[in-house]
Amino acid sequence: MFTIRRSVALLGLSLMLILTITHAALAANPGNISVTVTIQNLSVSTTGPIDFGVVTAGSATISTVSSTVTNTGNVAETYSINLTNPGGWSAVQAAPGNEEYCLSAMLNGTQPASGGFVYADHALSTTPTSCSATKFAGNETGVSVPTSAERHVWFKFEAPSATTVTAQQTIVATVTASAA
Amino acid sequence: MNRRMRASNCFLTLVSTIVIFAFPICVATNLIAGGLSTNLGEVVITGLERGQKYSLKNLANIPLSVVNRGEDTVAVRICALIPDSVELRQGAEPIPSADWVCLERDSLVLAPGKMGVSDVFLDIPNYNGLAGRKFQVMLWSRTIPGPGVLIACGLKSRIIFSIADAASVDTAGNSKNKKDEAMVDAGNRKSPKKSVDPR
Repeated sequence: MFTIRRSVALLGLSLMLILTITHAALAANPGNISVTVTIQNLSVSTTGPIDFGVVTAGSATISTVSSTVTNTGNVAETYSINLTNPGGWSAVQAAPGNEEYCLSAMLNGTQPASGGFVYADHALSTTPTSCSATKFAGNETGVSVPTSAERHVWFKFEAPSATTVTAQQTIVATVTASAA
Repeated sequence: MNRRMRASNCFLTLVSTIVIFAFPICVATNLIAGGLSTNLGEVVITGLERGQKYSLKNLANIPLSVVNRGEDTVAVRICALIPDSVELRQGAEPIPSADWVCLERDSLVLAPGKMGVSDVFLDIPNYNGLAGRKFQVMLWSRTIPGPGVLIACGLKSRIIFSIADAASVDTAGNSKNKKDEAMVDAGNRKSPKKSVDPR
């Protein structure tokens, strides 16, 4: 019994010590630190998926429907876009070679023509890239999008010139919102 | 030679045929709506001291909270990013290392309408060169889509913080501080880099 009590007491002391150390490790909020929260609600919604149907090697396809991105927050937002590579293929920002592909994105009210996509402005990479007056721009931009406003994202997929991958591929495009 | 060319042509035809039927990137008719929101759009903190670790929750009672505004349960991943030059605000410079920031939870699984919360910790190195400087870091919260979902959404929360002017003594021989010092110096010379994406 004594052993159990002593163990419980030791456990309690240990917990108190751990809690004390944990608390001490974080600095308190002294008077000379000020914190300003300037934006309260950042929110975005998207629709999908992107429908490319069946694509042949070395060809280019533009999505037949757009993905709608809506600013559902209470401040203007600027978007950035990136992709996640599927296994076996790598994204490039140029004409794709073997086992490479190019996925481009354009903000436009209607389906853009294939020639409207420019690698330098529209090709996606794995790094989130901020929209600008030219980046990912069509007749819409992802810069300072007002509250409740919608943007329409169209994708162009350029398939590998040749590939040994035979399974269906999944490429995820991510639209990220930040306060403008 | 002809036989070899014929064999090669047959192979190419086979590959083309496979490719034609193997490239369904996605065939779906239903539109899936996904959405995220957060209370943490931008936070500005001034007067942080070198060599201290701060909790955003303790500082301002504002941990990072993320709400799933979509129609399905989603996995959300959170990481700290060094901002691009176009993302910088208020004269801040990019944080020298994303390692200065750590999260209580870097992944969440959220049912529709549910909120997940993670505290954010800022660990300021004890280095004299930091005094009076202002830094910015982005917290990137994004959905990890399930099978068949090809568009994800994300949010970047901006944290801008400045270090107090008051000088304090560097801890001599502290290897971590030496490393951070090196990082800050390197950050002054080189263009900012993205942190490694943990995906």
